[in-house]
Amino acid sequence: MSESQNNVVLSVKDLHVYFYTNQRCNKVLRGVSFDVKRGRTLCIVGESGCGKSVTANSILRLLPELSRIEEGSITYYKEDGTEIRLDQLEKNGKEMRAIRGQDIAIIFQDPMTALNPVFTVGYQIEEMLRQHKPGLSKEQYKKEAIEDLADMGIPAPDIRYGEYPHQFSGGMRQRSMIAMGMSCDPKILLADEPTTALDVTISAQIFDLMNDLKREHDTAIMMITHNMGVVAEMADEVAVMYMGNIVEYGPVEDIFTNPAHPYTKALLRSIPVLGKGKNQQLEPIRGSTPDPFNRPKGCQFCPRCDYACPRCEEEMPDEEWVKEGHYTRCFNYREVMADGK
Amino acid sequence: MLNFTLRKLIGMIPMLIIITFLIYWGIELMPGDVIDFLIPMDQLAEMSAEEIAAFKAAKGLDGPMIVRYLSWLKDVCTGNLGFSLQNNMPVSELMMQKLPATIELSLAALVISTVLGILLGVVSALKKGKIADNVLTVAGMIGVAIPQFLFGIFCIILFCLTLNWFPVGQRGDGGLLSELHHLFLPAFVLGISQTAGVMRYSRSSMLDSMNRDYVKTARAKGLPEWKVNMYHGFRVACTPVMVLIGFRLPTLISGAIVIENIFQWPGVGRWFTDAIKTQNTPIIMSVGLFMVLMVLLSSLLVDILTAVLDPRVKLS
Ligand SMILES: Nc1ncnc2c1ncn2[C@@H]1O[C@H](COP(=O)(O)OP(=O)(O)OP(=O)(O)O)[C@@H](O)[C@H]1O
Ligand code: SF4
Ligand SMILES: [Mg+2]
Repeated sequence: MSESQNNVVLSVKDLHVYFYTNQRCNKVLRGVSFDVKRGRTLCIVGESGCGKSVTANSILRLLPELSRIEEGSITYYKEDGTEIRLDQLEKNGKEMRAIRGQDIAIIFQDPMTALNPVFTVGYQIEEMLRQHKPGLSKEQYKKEAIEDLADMGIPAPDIRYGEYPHQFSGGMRQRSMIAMGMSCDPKILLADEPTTALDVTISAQIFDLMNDLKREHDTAIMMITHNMGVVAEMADEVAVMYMGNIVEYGPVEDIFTNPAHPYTKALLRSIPVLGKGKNQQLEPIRGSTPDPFNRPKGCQFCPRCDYACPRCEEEMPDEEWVKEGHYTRCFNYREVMADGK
Repeated sequence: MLNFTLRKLIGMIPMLIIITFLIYWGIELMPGDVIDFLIPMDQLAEMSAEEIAAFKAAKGLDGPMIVRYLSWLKDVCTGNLGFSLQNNMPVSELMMQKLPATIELSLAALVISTVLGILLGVVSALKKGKIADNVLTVAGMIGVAIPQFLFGIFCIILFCLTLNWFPVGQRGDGGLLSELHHLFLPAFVLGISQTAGVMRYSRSSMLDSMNRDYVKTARAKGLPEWKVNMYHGFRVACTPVMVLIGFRLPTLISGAIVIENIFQWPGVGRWFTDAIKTQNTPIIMSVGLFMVLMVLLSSLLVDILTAVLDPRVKLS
C-alpha cells in the first residue's frame, strides 16, 4: 500500500460506531478500515442493514444524535499535505462544515426526498455555492448553478433552475443532487446507493456521469451499493461489508476472480453474470442476517457459512492480508480461495 | 388564483344560506316568546290578544318562520341588517361600533398565540428530550386542559384585583399606551389558550421536518445549524402550522365571546350574548352571519396560504 499512500485522500481505520436506542447499544460498526484514493472508485457492498450508510454518514459526521464514534479514526488528507482527523472535529462545528460540500460531498439514496420541496432546485444548488464561495454576485451564483445543471446533462438548465423538485423526474433530481454535490469541486464524492430509486437506463446514465467526473476532476468516489453488477461496472476497489465489518477488501479484479471470503463468494453466486446466458444457476445466500442485538459470538457469518469450523464459532477473525492491497476476515481463506467455484 | 377565489366565493353562497337558515330556526326553537323581552310584564298582562298581534306585525314578528327568514335574507342582500328589537337602532350601525373592539382583541390574541406558539414549539422540537422541552410539554398540556374562562377569571383575580397591574373592562381612552394597557390581559388570556395548541403542533411539524432527508442534505452542504433549522426545517414545518392557525381563526372569534364577557370588553361578543338572552333576532342573525363568513373565509384563506407556501399545491 505504501506506494499508493500519497494518493490516499481519506483513510478510515478501525472505525467503531455504536447506536444507543431504547437503552440498548447496537454496535453497528465494529472495526471498519479502508482507504479512498484520488481518481478511483471504492465500492462498498453488503446486504441491507450491514452499516454502509452509517459508514458514509460517519465520515461527514452526519450521524443521528443517539450514535457515537467509539473508536478508530477517520483521516482526511488535504491536497496541501495537512491531515484532518474528521472523527475529532466538533460535529456541526465550523471546521467540519467547511469540509462538507467543499471537500467531501455526499449524494443520498433517495433523490425524491433529498431535495427540499419548497425551494427551487436552482436555489438549493446556489445555497451550496454561497456557503463555500462567498462574495460572488447574484448573477454569478445563478450562472454557476445553471452551468452545474448543464454539466449534468440537464436539458434547458436555465428553465430548470427556477423549477421545484416536484417538477423533476427521479433521474433529473439525482442529476441535480450530483450537480449540487459537484458544484464546489469536492475531492471526495460519497454516493450512498445513488441509483436504487431509479430505473436501469437512468442509473446507467448516472454512473457514466460519475465516471466522467472521476476522469476529468480526479475525484475520489466512494460508492455504496448492494448490487454486485454495479460493483463490476464501477469499482476500482471493493469493500464487502457484513454485520458492521469489512470482511473483504481489495482490487475489483481480485474480488471477482479470486474471492477470499465465503460471503463475497456467496454474493457473487447470487447475481447473474453478463454473457453467461440464461442457464446460469443463481443461488441466494442461505439463512438470513442475524439480529444485531443477538449476534453470533465468533465470526458473524458463521451460521451461514459453508466453510465454518469450530474455531469460527468462538472467535472473530482479524483482517488478514491475502496479498498487497487485498485483505479478508476469514480463518479459512486459503481453503476458500483454493476452492475454485 | 383570482379565478379560484371567485369560484370559492360563489360556492360559499349556498352554505351561507343553509347555515343562516339553521340559525334562524334555532332562534325560533328557543324557549320563551320575544314579546316577553320587549314589553314589560305588567303592561303585557293588560294587553289584549289583538294588541299583541298588532305589535308583532309592526315589528315583523308574525307570519310563518320561512317567510320571515326570506324577508331577512332579502334585506341582507340589499345591505340592510335590520333593526335591533330592543331600541330600533340599525344593526349595521351597532355592529360598526362593536366590531373594532372584537377585531382588535382577536388580532392581538392571534399575534400572541402565533408568535409564542411557533417560537416555543420550535424551541421544544430542537431541544427534544431536554429539560426545556419537558417543561414546555407539561405547560402545553395544562394550557390545553384549562378552560378559557377559568384561566381568565384567575388572571383577573391575580393581575387586576390583587396586583392591580391591569384595569378590567372597557378599552383604552385613545392613547396607544392606554389602549395596550387595557388590551393586554384579555388578549393574553385569549392568546394563551390558543398558544398551547399552536405550540404542540409546531413542535410535531418541526420534528417531522427535521427528520426528513432534505435536512440531512442541507447539513451535508456545510450550512450552519441555524440555517439548517430555519431555512430547511422550519420553512417546511410552517405550512401545516399556518393551516392550523387559519382553520382556528373562527375559534378565536368564539373565544373572544367568552373573554369579552369575562373582561367586560365592549365588543361583539358581549353584545351577542345579550342579544341571545333577549332573543334579539336581527342582532343574533347578523353576528351569526359574520361568524359563518369568518369560518368560510378562513378556509379560503387556508387554501390560498397553502398554495403560496407549498409550491407542490396548485389551486384548482
Ligand atoms: N437512525 C438510526 N437509528 C437507529 N438505528 C440505526 C439508525 N440508522 C442505522 N441504524 C442501525 O444501523 C444499522 C446499519 O444501518 P445502515 O443504514 O448503515 O444500513 P445499510 O447498510 O445502509 O443498509 P441499506 O442497504 O438498507 O441502506 C441498521 O441495522 C440499524 O439497526
Ligand atoms: S471465519 Fe469461518 S465462519 Fe467466518 S467466514 Fe471464514 S470460514 Fe466462514
Ligand atoms: Mg443505506
